[in-house]
Amino acid sequence: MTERKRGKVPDIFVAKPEKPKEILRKELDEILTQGSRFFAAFVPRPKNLRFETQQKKEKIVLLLRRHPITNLPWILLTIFLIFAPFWIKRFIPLDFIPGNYQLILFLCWYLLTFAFVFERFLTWFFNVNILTDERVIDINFPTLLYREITEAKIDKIQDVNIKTGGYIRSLFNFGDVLIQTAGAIPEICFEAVPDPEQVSRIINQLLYEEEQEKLEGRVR
Amino acid sequence: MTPFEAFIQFLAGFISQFSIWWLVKCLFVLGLALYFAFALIVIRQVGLMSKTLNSEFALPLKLISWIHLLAAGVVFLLVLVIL
Repeated sequence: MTERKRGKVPDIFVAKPEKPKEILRKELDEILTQGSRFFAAFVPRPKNLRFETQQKKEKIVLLLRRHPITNLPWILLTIFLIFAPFWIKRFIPLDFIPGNYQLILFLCWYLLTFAFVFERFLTWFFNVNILTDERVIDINFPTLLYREITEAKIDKIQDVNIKTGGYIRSLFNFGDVLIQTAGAIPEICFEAVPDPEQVSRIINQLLYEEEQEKLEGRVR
Repeated sequence: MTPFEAFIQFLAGFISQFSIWWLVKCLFVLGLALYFAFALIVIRQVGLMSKTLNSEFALPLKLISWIHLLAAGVVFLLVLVIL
């Protein structure tokens, strides 16, 4: 006898039961206690790091940068710039330029190449997203001498979305994390961060802990 | 010789001695002076960045920016000396 005849409708989709909060917390704690290198894009609980607006008791939970693979275009360009003078010299005769001028030209070229590399590195290194036990902070340096710090309190977070797509992002597991807030800034975007799913889980856990603190009256 | 004739003679002498490399040298001096100013801004920028996000890498990065300024200064002096 079929299930329909017995009066039972077969399940099309059965959702997995949600993991209890304690198990989730344990898993996240494991991630956050993993050995971290500060010189990376996903740094759980970084040591010897402080940011300008950090409060005394505030602890950094996670430091994020753009995935290192996003640096590939300028690294390739740098390799080209390093070897370009040798290739140019090989294919174009530069004998009409006096030797001392050639030397200065050569030095200026490498000075500019170095400035380019240093600027790109600084942009990558200092454009960070920080998750603390109290806030989410997005630090941006779009141009020279200009900085933009966006922050929102954890309890103001309303929604967390992940945006991934494309071959490179899927292959290297990085994407955008969009955080909708009820504050003055409606959205904070963590761009091209590694493991966006994990980041979203950590934010949700922080949100849950903040709610617990509120219920228990432990709010700072 | 009238002052006008003297001026014309000076101009003629200047034009006869003028070479394209003299112009190139001027451009190098101007460019490197601007670059030196840029290197100073980079130092300021690294300072501002390190203040915003203070880590153990702040000191090496500041050192690199000072070395960059020194290199820009050395190349500027070289242009004045050897060109």
